[in-house]
Amino acid sequence: MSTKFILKLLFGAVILPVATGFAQPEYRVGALPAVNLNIKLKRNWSINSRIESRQQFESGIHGVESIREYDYLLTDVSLQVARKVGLNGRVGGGYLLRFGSGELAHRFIQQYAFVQKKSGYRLAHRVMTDQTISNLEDLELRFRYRLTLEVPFNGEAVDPGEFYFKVSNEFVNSLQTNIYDLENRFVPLIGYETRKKFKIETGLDYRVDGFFNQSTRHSYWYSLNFFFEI
Amino acid sequence: MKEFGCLLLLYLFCFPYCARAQEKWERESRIRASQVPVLASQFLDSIPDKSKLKWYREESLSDTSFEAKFTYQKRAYSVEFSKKGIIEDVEILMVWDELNESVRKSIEQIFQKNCTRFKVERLQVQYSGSNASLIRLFIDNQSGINLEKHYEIIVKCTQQKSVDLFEYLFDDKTLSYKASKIVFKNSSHLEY
Repeated sequence: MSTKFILKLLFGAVILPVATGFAQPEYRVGALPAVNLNIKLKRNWSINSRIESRQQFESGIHGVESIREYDYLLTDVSLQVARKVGLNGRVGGGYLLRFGSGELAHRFIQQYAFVQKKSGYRLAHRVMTDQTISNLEDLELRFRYRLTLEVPFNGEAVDPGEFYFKVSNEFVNSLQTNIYDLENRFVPLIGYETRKKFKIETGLDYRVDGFFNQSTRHSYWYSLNFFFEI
Repeated sequence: MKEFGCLLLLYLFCFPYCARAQEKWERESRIRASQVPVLASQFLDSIPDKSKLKWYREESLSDTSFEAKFTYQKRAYSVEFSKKGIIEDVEILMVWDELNESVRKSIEQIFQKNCTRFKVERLQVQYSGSNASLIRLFIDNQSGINLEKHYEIIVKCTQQKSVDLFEYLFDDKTLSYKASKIVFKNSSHLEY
């Protein structure tokens, strides 16, 4: 798979949904800070835990109205247990607790991810399913696929003390009370790896959803991720 | 927001993420030809009709070296130099079937012994020796004269409970070898 093809795939996946999405231009702007901790265990097992908060600074309808107001939306806390399978794959499962604004949701996650090392870049594929139950909404089932490309700023691979570019695109298919929806997430980030198994990433997390229910919404989150490895 | 702040603090203090004291640190970076030691540059200048030349600097806590990667006569070459530009070895990428049949079969027997299943992912023939002998590799294609020859082989090896990549370095004459497991770079930021 050539780099050109991958870029076309990533951008094609983004441009099309954006173009169709402008018909119903509801939007929101905010931040998604997250801390991620990965612990390696014996015999190819690992534990990953993550805490992420969602905060909104502005929302409205493009060209009609906008409300600038700080609003803390929610916090997600998750824990996943995973096992390496094959040469570069990993199967995992876990639980996510979401709370905020009167909502308490429980999400059960299953995922398979594998990473391909190419000359000068890495490609990661992730297939995920999850089931969410909440005190405010009906059961939601989702099927997701994410493709991520990591390119070092220098050399063949990201080494400690170096910057890298990471871009991902994810399709999130959801089914809730027999209503299907598709969300697309496009996330370009700049990252830095320190010498002490720590990474920091920052950039945009752009999401567009509501393609099939006449309420397309664009979300622009400022993304700030911290990754710790033990 | 308060809830998030409290949780974050709890989260960070609960997990001891202090880095271990002695870390192995290596960095490879692409460099310009002007940043290469003169001796290394001169060696490369003496190779005719090469293409796609790229220079890299490899740094570790104890040493620095330089590497030139290029194509010559439709083959991928890699030449490694010391910090002062003294040539250390030349590696040539080859296809597994190109290897001498008896050598190939002997090596395959070793892989069969060490792995329940194996797949050769990459083969490089490595030459080391004097500067003059190494340059003859390119000028009159006289490989093997006054040179030490090794085979560097990356193998996907399936064992009872795991699948791993190994790097084997075989001596051409005795087929004695060193094997080391290749540890993949962390990828949790790509998976989660």
